[in-house]
Order: sequence, then structure tokens, then C-alpha cells
Amino acid sequence: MKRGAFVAGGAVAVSALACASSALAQEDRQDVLGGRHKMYESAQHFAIELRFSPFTPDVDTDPALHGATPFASTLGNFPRLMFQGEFDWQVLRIPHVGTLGPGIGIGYTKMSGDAQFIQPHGPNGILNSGETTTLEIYPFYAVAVLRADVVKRELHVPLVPYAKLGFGYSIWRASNSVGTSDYGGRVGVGGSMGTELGLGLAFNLNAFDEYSAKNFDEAVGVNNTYAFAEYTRADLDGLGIQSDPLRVGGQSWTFGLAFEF
Amino acid sequence: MLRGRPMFRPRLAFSAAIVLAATLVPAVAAAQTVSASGQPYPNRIVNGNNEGYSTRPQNLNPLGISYADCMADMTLSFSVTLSGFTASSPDSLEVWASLTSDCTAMTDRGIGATAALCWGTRSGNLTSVVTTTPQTYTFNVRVQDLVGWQQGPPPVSMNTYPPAKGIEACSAQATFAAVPMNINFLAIDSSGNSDGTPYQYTINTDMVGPPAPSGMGETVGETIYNVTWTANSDSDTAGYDIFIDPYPGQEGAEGGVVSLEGGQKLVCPDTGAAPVGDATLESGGADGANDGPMDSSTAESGALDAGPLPYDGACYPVNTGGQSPASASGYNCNDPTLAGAITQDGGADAAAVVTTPVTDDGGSTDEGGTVETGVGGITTVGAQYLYPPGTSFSSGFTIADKSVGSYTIKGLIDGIMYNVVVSAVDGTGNVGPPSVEVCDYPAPVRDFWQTYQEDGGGPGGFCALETIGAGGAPSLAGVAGVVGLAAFTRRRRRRSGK
Repeated sequence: MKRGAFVAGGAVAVSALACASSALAQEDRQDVLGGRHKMYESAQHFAIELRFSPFTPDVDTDPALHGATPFASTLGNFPRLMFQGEFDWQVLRIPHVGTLGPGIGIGYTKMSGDAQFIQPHGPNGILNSGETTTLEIYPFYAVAVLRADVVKRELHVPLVPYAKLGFGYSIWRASNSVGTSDYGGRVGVGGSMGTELGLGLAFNLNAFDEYSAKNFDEAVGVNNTYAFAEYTRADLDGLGIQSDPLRVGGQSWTFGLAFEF
Repeated sequence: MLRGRPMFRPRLAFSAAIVLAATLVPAVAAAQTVSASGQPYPNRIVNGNNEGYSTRPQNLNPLGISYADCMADMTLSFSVTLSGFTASSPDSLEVWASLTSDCTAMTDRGIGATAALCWGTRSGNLTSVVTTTPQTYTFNVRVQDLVGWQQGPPPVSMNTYPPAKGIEACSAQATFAAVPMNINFLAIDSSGNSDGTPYQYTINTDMVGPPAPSGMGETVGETIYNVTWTANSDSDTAGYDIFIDPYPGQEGAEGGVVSLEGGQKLVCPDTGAAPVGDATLESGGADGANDGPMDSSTAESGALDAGPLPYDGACYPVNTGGQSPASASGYNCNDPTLAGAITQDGGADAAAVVTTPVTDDGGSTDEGGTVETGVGGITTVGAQYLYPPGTSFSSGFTIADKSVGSYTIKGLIDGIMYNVVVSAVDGTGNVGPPSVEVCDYPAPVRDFWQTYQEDGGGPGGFCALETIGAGGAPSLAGVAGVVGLAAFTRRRRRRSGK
């Protein structure tokens, strides 16, 4: 609760600062150049996101493991960097709400660790071998994206809350120093499907320098630039269709930059 | 007076010109010239066979001289054209080698001097006097005669040449850096003077490999063996060769036994079973090692003090007491083949071996050694231990990158003790002295996928793919198909809407 209040307070403070900055910028544009820039804004239909998140897959939450933690014991239960890219098509503009449209994303993350000797090895009885064991994940997803930019457009507060909901499908590969893992006739390559959810808040960076933002729009057609933070959750449990998939989804905080154009 | 002088002067000048021309013309005609014929590089003759311009690939300085070339008693066959030699000015053609000189000065050739800068290449000297030119001649220069005197050419008198060199010439190079040499083809008159225009051919000789890599380490996994070392920083190293014994695929060729050194015991942790085999103690060591008495006071479960013993898939020798391990892995590596190879051949003057005796619990001295860093040499490890299969000294490197400091050997057999050394290789293909030896045995490991499966994990997922390349493509094609179908449907709707 305290943390939530702190975050909310921080957001309000940043918004207030941004508003002040915006107001200042508007005052600054009481000149010839400012007036000219005010007249132009390119059409806006799309958005792209560059996304980075500390990610730990939910492998060990599989009920079939009965509490065993194969992921944590071999690869370590600490987050790894996942980077993703997303492309959104803002098909609809809902008056006094925002934009709505489909989006697709693709990403990559990799986690490695030392494979363990089955028996203590050598005169020192070491357990960590010189062999690397790795899990690579290539997440794909398709979501519906609602960006409520009414706050920014009508209230002039440079914050855009948004939500994403859809399906995810992650291709994954388990390997070791020799190649793709293979145990008991099961090859360590596959795909897991499930749902994808994202709830985020984007901060419009145009507020810091509207003059540059206008130039950016005129030069390359980018209407808005955002820094965002997003709670992301991928439940890749098979949707009842797949039989006991490797749970390579997870929940994480995603940060990045977004551009609307 | 004035009117008569013009008549006199032209006549006098004309006469003088005639005399001068008569004097100069023979001299010009007799200006001996030695030049390369159409053949830009010497042919290489080995065992009577003409191997052509080079015997090595382009990445191994094929036009230079290596230790292997010298040991093979290679002969360089030059083709040069002589012109300007006449019966009135007969000269002989001599071939002299030098590190720095063109050998035209008699003193450089040791004539009338106490020290020489040049040495005659015995087989290359033309014995007969040349009187009729132009002609193309072939001159053969033995590599051993070429490189053997670089440390100090002997002073000679006229018409005497240094004795022929043998394979000891291949150890004449003092440093591991390449040594360029001049081969001078001189027209020599009867007084020993160099006449006319000589021909000089410069060749790069390098008969010493780079220093041994240091900082050896290793780790193993299931059927794999990772070797690590500190990448060489010298100017000579161009890559590395990996040697392994027993050689992958030939593990049974050496009898499949673990030989115990003095002060060692055999441990079989992976199986817990006692090794099978006779309990005959090694006496003196068939591998040439200075073995001490076996330590019989450390018997424990899973440990035996006997040898030689067959490999049982997971046994290895360990030191029994406070003896410092010779290997980073904790083993005392004394592979009879690789350890014995830490005696350099080429560049013996520069490649010092520092032997570090190790005393075991019984007070006996075990063999042990390391190669002093910063010096070069030539490995004596046989090419049959060079990894990976198909690599040879003459064809290239295991690793053709000086900055690399690790290598993974795959396809090994778990439980067999493998001994590995690394040698640096220079740009001429000389393989330097081996590193200190590391040894270890690959053993089964449990990776993530195996752990997941053993813990009750399922098959992994719907559309589990055999490989990314094989199964992934159909899956991705399916996704693309769905997207394509959606686009097609949308387009049709639009058209029908029109």
C-alpha cells in the first residue's frame, strides 16, 4: 500500500512538473517559430515500442513438478534481460477515450548456467561442470491495445494509461554445450501458448521540449514519444489445448520507449 | 695561327674519341649481369621431387622457410640468367648467403678478414667458368646450408666453402622471430672480386615456434573438455594447436589402462565400483616416468593403490597427500607422450626447459616440468595427437586466431582420462613448445532439460519441434498462413463492398 501510494505520488509529481514544463514551453512559443509549428501535426496511425524487462520464466510453477524447481536449481532463479519490439496499428480512435487496435510483438531472452555433475567430480568433488546449460525463449504475441490518450489530449496531462490483452506463443530451446538437449527421447525444443496481458502508463516526453517534438514530427512523422512502465504478464500454460507445456511465460515490469507515428 | 687551329682541334678530338671508345667498349660488353629468369620464386625439391613454389597453404607463409622445410632437407632451386660473361672476361657464378650483406665485398665473404658476414652455399656454387652468355642456369641451394651458419659464418679462403650442414642447422635460429636472409648470386673474377650486377633474392626463414601458452586450465562436461589458457602476446604467435591423448576415437589403442604414478591412488567416484584388473604395481614406470614407491597407507572406499588398471568408465588417479597438483584440475598429469614432449628440438639455445621436480609422500622424486615462458621452440608432440581430426602441421591450425584463449573438444568418452597440451603456432606453421599438461575426464552431467524431465516436467509444449530449422519452419509457415488468410479475406470484403 505504501509503495503504491509512493508510486502514485511520484507519478503526480512528475506530471505536475511536466505540466509546468509544458506551460512554460507554450509561453516560450509566443514567437514566430512557435506559431508556425503549432499549425502542423502529421497523421497518427501506428506505434512502435522498444521494450526491456528483467524476466524470470514461470517454469517452476508447473503443477506437474510437484514443488520441484528445475529452473532455479540449474539456471538460477534470478531475472535476465528480455528485450522485445512491438508494432501497433491504431485502427480506431474512440472519441474522448483514445486509440484501439491490434499489436504484435517479438522478443528474445536467454538464461544460462553450469550443468551439474551427476556425481561429485574429481579429487575435489566439484559439482559444477564445465558444460553450459541454456534456455532460450523467443516470445511472440498478438494483442489488442487500448491507449487512453484522452488525459493527454483533453486534460493536457502528459500521461497515457494503456492496456493490452491477447495471446502469446513462445518458442523455446533448451541446450547444452554440445547442442539441443535431448533426454528420454524428448528434444528440448518447442512452443508454449497462453494469454498475454499488459497494463502500463506512458509518459509523453514531448512535454519536455515541444519545439523539438514538432521538429521530430515534421522531419520523420513521429507525433509522440513516450517513456513507459508496464506490468506484463504472460500465462503460457497451454490454454487447455497444450498438454503440460514448458511454462516460459512470466510476469515482469517492462520499461521502454514508444513512438506514435 | 687562328685560322689553322680549327683544322687541328677537330682532328685531335676525333682521335681521342676513337681511343676512348676502343677502351670503353670492351668494358661495357664485359659487364656481367645476373638476373632472375622468368621464374619469380625458387622451386622446392624434397627427396628428389619438385614440389613447386610452395609446400604450404597461403596462410602459412608458403614462400618462406620453416622448421619442417629444414628438417625435410629441402633444396631451393633457383633459375637465373647470366649475361655479359665472355671469354675475354671469364667469371664464375657463386651463391652466398647473408643476414645483412650483399656479399660483394671480399671481406664480407671472409676473404682477408677474420670474420665473415656471408657464407657460401656449398651446393649452389658454380665450379666452371662461364664464358658464353646469355644463358639460364639452375642453382640449387640446400636449406640446411642456407640457414645453418646464421649464428656465425666461418672465415674462408678463396675457393673453399663451409662444410655441408645437417639437421643441426634447423636449430640454428636464436629467437622465435622470423629471420630474413639474402641469397646473393655473384659474378666472381679470378681474383675473388665481385663483377657486374649481382642478383639478390630475399627469403624469410623461421624455424622456431612461438612460446608456449601459459595459464592453462580446464573444465569438463558430458563428453566435452574445455581447455583454457592465456592468449600469447608475443609478435610471433598466429594461432594454436591442441594435442590430446588418448586421441578421440582411439581410446582403446593404448590398452585402455590408467597408469598410476608414485604417490597416487585410483578413485572411481562415479560408479563406486572397484576397478577390474590385475593389481600389479608399476615398477619404474613403463612410461619413462621416474615413479616412486606406491603409497599403500591411504586405502579407502572406492580408492585403490594399484595399477595399471583398465578404464571402467569413471576412474582416475589422484595424489594421495599434500603434494601440489601439477594440473589445475587437481590431477598430477604425466602423460607419457605429452609430458615427454616438453623437450624442445628447434631453437634449443633459446627454448629452455625448467624442470620442477616434485616429491611425493614417499620421498621419491616424480617427473614434472614446465616450459619457461618467453622463449620459443618446436614441439615434439606427434601430429597424430593434433586435434581436430584432419588437422596437420602442414595444413593449418586448430585455432587460427592469436587472441583466442579457449577451446572445446567434443565427442569424448565419459570416464576416460584425457591429457591435453596447447602449443602456439607461428605464421610459418612452426609449432612451438607445448604448454604444461592438463588432464581430466569427462563425466555425465544433468542439464536443465534433463532436470526438468526428471522432476516430472512434460513433453514441453504443443507442436514440440524436432529442431528449430525443421519443425520451426512449418510452425512459422502456419502462422504466416493464418495472417495471409486474414488479409485475403479482408481484401475480398473490401472488393465486394465496392
